Amino acid sequence: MADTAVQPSRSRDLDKLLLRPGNLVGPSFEPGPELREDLKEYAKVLVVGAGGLGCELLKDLALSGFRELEVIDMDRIEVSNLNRQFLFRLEDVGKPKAEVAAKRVMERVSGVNIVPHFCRIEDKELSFFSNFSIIALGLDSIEARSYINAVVCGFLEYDSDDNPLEETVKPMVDGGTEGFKGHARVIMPGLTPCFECTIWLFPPQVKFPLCTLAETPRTAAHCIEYAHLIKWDEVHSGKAFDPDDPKHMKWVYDEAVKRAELFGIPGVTYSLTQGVVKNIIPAIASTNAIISAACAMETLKIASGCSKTLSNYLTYNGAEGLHTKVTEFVKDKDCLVCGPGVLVELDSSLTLEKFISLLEEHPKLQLSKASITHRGKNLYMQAPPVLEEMTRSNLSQPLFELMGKISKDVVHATGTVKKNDTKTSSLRKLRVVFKGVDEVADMDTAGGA
Amino acid sequence: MNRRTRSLHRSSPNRAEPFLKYLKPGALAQIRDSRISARSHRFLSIAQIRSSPPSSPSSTPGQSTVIAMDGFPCFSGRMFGPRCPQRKKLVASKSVLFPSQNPSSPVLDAADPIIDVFSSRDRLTEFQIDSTNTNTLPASKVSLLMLYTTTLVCFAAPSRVVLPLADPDSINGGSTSQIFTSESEMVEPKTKYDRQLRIWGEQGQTALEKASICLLNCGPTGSETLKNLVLGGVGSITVVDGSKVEVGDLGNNFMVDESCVGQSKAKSVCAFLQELNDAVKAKFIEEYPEALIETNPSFFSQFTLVVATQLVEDSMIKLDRICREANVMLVFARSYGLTGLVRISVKEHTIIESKPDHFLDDLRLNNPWPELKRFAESIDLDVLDPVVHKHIPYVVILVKMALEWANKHGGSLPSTREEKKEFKELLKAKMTAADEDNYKEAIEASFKVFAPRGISSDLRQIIDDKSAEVNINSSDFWVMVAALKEFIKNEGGGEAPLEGSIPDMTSSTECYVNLQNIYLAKAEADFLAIEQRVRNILKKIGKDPSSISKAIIKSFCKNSRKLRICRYRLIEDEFNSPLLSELQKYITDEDYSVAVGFYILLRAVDRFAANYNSFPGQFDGAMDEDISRLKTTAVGLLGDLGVNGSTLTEDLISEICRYGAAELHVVAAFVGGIASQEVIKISSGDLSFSKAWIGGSSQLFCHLIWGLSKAFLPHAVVAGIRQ
Ligand SMILES: [Zn+2]
Repeated sequence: MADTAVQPSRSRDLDKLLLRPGNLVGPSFEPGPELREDLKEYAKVLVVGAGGLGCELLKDLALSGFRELEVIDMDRIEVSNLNRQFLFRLEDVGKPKAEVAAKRVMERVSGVNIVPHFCRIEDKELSFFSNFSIIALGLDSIEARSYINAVVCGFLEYDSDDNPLEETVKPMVDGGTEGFKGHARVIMPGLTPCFECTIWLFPPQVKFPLCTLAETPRTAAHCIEYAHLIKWDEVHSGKAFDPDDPKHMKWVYDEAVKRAELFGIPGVTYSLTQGVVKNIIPAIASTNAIISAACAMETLKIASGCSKTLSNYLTYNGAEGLHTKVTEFVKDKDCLVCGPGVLVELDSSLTLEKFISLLEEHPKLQLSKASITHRGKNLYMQAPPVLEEMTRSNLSQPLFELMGKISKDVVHATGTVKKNDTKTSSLRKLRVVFKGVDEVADMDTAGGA
Repeated sequence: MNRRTRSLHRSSPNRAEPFLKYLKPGALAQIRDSRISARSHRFLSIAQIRSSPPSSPSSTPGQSTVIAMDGFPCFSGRMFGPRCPQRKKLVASKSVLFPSQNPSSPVLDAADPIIDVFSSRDRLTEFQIDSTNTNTLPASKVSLLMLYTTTLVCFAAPSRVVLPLADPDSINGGSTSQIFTSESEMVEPKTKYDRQLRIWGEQGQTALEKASICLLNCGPTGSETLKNLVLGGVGSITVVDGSKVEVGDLGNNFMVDESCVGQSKAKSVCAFLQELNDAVKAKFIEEYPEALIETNPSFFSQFTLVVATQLVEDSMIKLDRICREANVMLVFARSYGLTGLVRISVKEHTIIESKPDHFLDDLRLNNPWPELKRFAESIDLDVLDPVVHKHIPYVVILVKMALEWANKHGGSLPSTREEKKEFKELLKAKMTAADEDNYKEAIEASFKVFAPRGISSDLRQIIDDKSAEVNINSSDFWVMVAALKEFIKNEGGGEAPLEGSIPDMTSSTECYVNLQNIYLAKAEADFLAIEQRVRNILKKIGKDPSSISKAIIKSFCKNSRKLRICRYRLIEDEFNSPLLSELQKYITDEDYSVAVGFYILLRAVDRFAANYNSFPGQFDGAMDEDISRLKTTAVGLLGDLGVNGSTLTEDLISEICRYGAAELHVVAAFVGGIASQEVIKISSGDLSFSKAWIGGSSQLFCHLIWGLSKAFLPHAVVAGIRQ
């Protein structure tokens, strides 16, 4: 197997994938050196999270032909990260994850440029996220996923048939792990289900009724949550519980032990206390590696077309034997986040009160007693009474004014819908367009940059 | 780059934020939570949620209050601000969906439970519908106060953590831990390993720390495998590779950098790995694995496990024989273009704590022992006090109702659909108020009454195994199986020893604790009976009667219904006498044909390499010739295997040639990740350490073209690995 004729090249293996034509490839695959160079130059990937998945993702992407990477994470390195977040060492404890991760990968993979952002994702302007070709999520929080998903879906614009404009679709790749299990998915906002479309996939938080904790504790976790959620406030009036303060944790543990003894309940340990209070999810290096690799692979496929993309959700379970499954989920057409919503054309003089009654008559909506919000601001609330009173004065004002005189925007309406004699409450997304206002600026946005 | 990415790149860096400001982080998560678990309405107004102060994604409120008013639920939890500023973690989404209201398959089917459950969209849809129904808001005005707590996944070690602080090797690596010294309780030195200890516990970790692992070839597949193992804290690693680092290696292996070019690859990789965890003893040997296999087979017997990466067939067969003889565990891993494989080769892997995902708890609702029966009889289901009535644990309700049913039906349990329905109706009729959670739980758990008495067919197969006829050479596992067999026949009355734990359920504390003690006492009695039998058997076969510790016997009893045995065929047998019927079946199965095709082709490329001295497509310029040569080779292989009537598609053949034996980093990370996971499972699965996982995945053949079909082969296909 003489290897003499080959020029030494860093992309020796990757070239096979990027330079050669194939039959089992994505529809837009254009193999050649130009593709390899474009990947370096133009494809800009944001990695959200520099934890177990993020560290792997940065390494994987840096070794998959990407050169322009950025990473955002608000956390600092902890000792318990070291069993899987392989870019960190003991002496890094306390330093920002994003910065150390970026530095380590750049040290080892020459030519790669990684910009770290040590901050919360909400601290970034929205334009920050629109800068990237692909966003890869390595998160462990449902809220953060929801946020990014909403931001990215917010970039979507639609044509007159309610189809998303292709240039406004920003692909996301998302991974998650728990113990020996994990998932990897590809989200093409507006085209494939977004995070919210399939949010029911995520297991609900286990919640204990307060009365169980207070009156009929049965398990060690009940005792711990009693100490954590009830006893702490009773004893430390006003002082917030800090799960990262070992003294606080110790206090909760001691109280939980006392309570468990009182009721004859076994099993309260310090480790369990931490687990319950901090909601610790077990995590191991191998699962993170597997899921991140799948995500990085998909990122490369989306960017280059070198193979067929995951469609659209991969579950991995290594807990008992090994099983994977690819499921093609379908988009929720009424999704409040990635769906187009219902288009409503209005006169700029229409009052909020008229608007609300119009929703009741609208054939697609038939929404009665609606409460209205715009960009998080309550325009009118039917309940509770205190909010109703606060927002009542808006009813007589024109909606156009209340929405800050923008020619078109989204509002959300909650109300009740009558179906077969039963009333159900319903939350709808509405794309409001005011007739005859600022059409020119409107066209500009729709045309895209 | 293709058009899509280019256009994506161009797309408006400063596009105005159209409609998303409304959505503050966490808002939708909260909706989701309320949708699924708080029995509030399915749809909640974001507006109402927003009526409270916003919070960052890292600080979810510890509490949320749902107050329903005229069908208009609203969240006001945040009015009081976050009670515990903690991050609500998440995780892989639920891979297995079991609507708890409707456990459609309470007892696992033997064959392939996970795949079965995972898959079907039908089931997913069912789940959605269910949740809609059950989440409809009760008509009355309710105030539900729900508290978040955690999703406890698996706290493997309920006992407190005691670790040797004085271990000189680990003191540098893992000693930055918070230590509390009050009353000698809860010392937690291994903060570093906390997240994995929560999975496999102290015993699993100890087992891992005893593992001595040898890696053959440290390309990216091998390096990534070891990386995950070193991070987890295996005892020692030995990296064997004879090659020098080339420029091309810099593009696919993170463990080497520019300064390593021209140096020993084994040395470079080993140095980086050592950096990850100094508690691990790392060494390297600059030698080609093939040479060791040929000239120094006894070399391998010093390890507990060998990870062999990127070996071709001929070497695999030889190494497999060597390791089998020396009783060394062996894991093969190979990355090839967008495909790869992981193959375990171990003579027998016995598992006590298999920790299956879903397993029917051991409550004996339809077969209560005297103490449980007596306890149930002491409780009056028709008690008048409503508070007492709604705190009778469902176990008591079901035991009583099952007894009543059996009395009326000549000792038999509800078995037909109508009978089961009738049984549930009887339960419903016992309710005195709509809010009696204990009765709702009883109705939901009624399937546990319908489960057959006695042991499962899986367990039957194990106690009937030839190895259960023990002698002096039998392992501890089989000695205990022999004792179990006797127990089932005698004291057990057809049942295995009681597990002894009960799930949480609505109950008064007193009643719950009493019930728990009744289960514990029975489990203890069963354990003592088994222990006695174990000691007797040990004596009878000429072994030290105390050679198996109490703790292990206890764990064995607790897990006796979940015992697992995996036996793996020799690689040679797999190659020379495959399970033809399986192979034939899957090669024509639309879902699996691609994976089977790659399996065949990966074997064909080794034949190709043996004949032509290079892999197909390894060098540019000979592609067409290689494609036709590979085709001929593959057809020959299929003929030799005895597979007929099936052909490999041209697409697949040219795809494998396109790969040209490339070892891509992401594929290596994927395959290496799986290999390391399997190593952990089989390393901690030895009998002497009771924590174990099923290392059932004997051979996985995977491809990463998710668009095509099922990416993995079912175990049975490839080889009939499990005998
Ligand atoms: Zn959506």
